[in-house]
Amino acid sequence: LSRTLADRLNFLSWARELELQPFSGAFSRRTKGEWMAISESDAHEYQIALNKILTDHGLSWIVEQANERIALGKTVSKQLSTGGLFPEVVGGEVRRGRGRMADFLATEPFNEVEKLVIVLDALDLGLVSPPKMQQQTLENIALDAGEVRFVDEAAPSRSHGYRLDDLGPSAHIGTALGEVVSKLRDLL
Amino acid sequence: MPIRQDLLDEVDAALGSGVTTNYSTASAANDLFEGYVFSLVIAAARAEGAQVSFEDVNEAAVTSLVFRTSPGFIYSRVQPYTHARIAFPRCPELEAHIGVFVGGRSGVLHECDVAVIDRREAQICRAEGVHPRSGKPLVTLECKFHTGTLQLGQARSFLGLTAELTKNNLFLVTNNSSETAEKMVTYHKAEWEFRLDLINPDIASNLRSRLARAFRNFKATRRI
Repeated sequence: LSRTLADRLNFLSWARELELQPFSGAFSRRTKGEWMAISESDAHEYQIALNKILTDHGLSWIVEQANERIALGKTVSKQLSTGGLFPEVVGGEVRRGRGRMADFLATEPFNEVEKLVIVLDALDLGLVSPPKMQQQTLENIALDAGEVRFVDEAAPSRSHGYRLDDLGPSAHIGTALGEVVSKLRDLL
Repeated sequence: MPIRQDLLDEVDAALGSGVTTNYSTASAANDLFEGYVFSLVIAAARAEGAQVSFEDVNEAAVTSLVFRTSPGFIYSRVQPYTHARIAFPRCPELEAHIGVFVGGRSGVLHECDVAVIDRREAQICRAEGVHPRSGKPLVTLECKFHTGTLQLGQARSFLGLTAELTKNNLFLVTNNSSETAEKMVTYHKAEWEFRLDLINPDIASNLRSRLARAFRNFKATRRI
């Protein structure tokens, strides 16, 4: 499965149409009416709890960026008649305008389950992937013993860096978090 | 279905051991992403047969790399900023930089997150205290790291950059996806690679192939 939101939502939508249910990472067929996906209110509670945990750990930027996406909503296409709202008066008789059908863009809010997916994606992107990215960077550069440093001239305290031998703790956080995010996805 | 508090506790416990400063702010995470994209350029150059070494602004060899967190001048000596020296056999040498300003066609300076520049041009810039010219980067990558979605404004800004620099080998790369941004950038026939994340290793492989192709074309046309 692709891990992007769009692909995942498409897949969930497809799975629902086929009466499939996510179960321990796989999808098993259920009879109609037995769909047991997470409820909107549960999804909302998970979001609130995850946002609080991230904020408590000084990671509010991840919450903020996820919220930016949530606030934008999703763009959908609607086909509408362009003439329906403007009746024509022909020979004293009012006729409904014969407009052509045209595609319009509209924005719809995400539902609570979709919002939870966005928060889980943010956890993956912001905390699970970066340690792997650092590891891969050092491998690509082939810098065995050296360090990579990012220097902030204006605010030296914001400078940061890493080296191969101190990636362990970050990698541990990434792995542990990746596992639990995966379990949370299985609830969807 | 009741809330699985045990899973939330697991999240809390995973973060409990402390998050390093590398991920404590959005800009720090973006720095890591730029470093990662830079490393893909290096890997692509090596795959095409280049000898790559690292040096500072004084052209002294280094083993630890120092990069900028915000855009700067290629000739700056405030810090011993690192660039990669890329040498293909029988070709003019190249350099890869992170976060340097390049002059645009309009005469305005633009930040290039990752840029591969002709070494001769870079040496003139360092010696004379000037910025690389718009036509000189061989490859330019605009890097955007975001845990939500790529903002449409960032994609619009990238399209402006393609008018100021060049569309050739100028890539918008992001760890995330955005259908609207993809649609807009594709409509304007600009280059992009979205979802560049270790969760999608095929995307990184794809970008590396495209970078390798740029180096191959360089070798074919500039071989002495």
